[in-house]
Amino acid sequence: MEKDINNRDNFLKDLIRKSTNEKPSIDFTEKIMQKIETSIETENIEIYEKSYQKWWWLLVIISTVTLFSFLIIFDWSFLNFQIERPNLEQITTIIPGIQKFFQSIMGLFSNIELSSISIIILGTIIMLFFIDKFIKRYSVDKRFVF
Amino acid sequence: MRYKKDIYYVEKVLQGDTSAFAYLVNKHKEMAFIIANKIVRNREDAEEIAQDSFLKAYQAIEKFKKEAKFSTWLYRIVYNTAISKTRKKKLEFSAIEDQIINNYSIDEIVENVNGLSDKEQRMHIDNAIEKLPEEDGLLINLFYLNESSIDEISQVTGLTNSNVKVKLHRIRKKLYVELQNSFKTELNVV
Repeated sequence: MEKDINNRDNFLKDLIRKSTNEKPSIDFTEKIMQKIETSIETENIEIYEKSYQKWWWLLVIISTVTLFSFLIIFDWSFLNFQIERPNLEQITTIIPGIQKFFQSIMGLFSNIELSSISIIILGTIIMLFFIDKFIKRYSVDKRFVF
Repeated sequence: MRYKKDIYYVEKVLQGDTSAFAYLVNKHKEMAFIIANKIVRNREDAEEIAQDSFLKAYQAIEKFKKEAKFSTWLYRIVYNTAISKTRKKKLEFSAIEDQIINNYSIDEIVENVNGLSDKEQRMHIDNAIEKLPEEDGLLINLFYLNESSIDEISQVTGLTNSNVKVKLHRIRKKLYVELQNSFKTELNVV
């Protein structure tokens, strides 16, 4: 009885094997390997996707304009001074031979005068730098492409 | 082409040899394609599903537990990918009416089939399989074509072992009925 069932099973098995004509395309393996290669290439690329809204830029522009207005309108005359040269004598007594080097370096800047305009420009740059850092830190998603 | 055991290629891939994965693809692409095709019943979709499944398998190969068979693990991915593509939660394995499936004679079918050419045999079995529901076609192919064990079929489809056994028994009967019908139809046409 069991042998008979096995024979019948083999009959069905042979028949099904004959029938199966379902095959994937010839370049099936190549296509997959190409996809894998592509996935490996993109795996290590980090893409920083900007996701912050337009109003963030509006905030930056308003802040910058406000700062500029403040810097220009405000009376900065009290900042008009010249940079004092540091006392190099003390340094060179500790490390002999460096005096000449420091003097020549300081000589390059001896005529520079730090005006209020220079401070305004410097302040604006620093502020924009920090605004930029702030926006990137809190509103930019770091995403990876696989 | 003679292949080594799957685990050999899996280890190679894990060591960074991507090209070893091509052997796994070559070895299992036909069955992966058949499984997908049985579920979606569309050649283009089946090919796309099979490719996506291989890519998923490659990307998740580190999660493959080596005590299981790679093919079973892969076919489960193909099955799930195909199911999600068809937007079904799972295949609905249909019940077969017993009064229909007892109405056939295996000896008669065997005799009829043996008297036919290969081409004619193929035509009749194709007709019979085509009339089976998609899930039945999947089970029968896994069992006869891939020679998967009951346990492996159970892992791929999510059915219990006893359920797989019952289903296979009924599908066999149904296939015989469909074969007999196919012969009768041909005789009526002639």
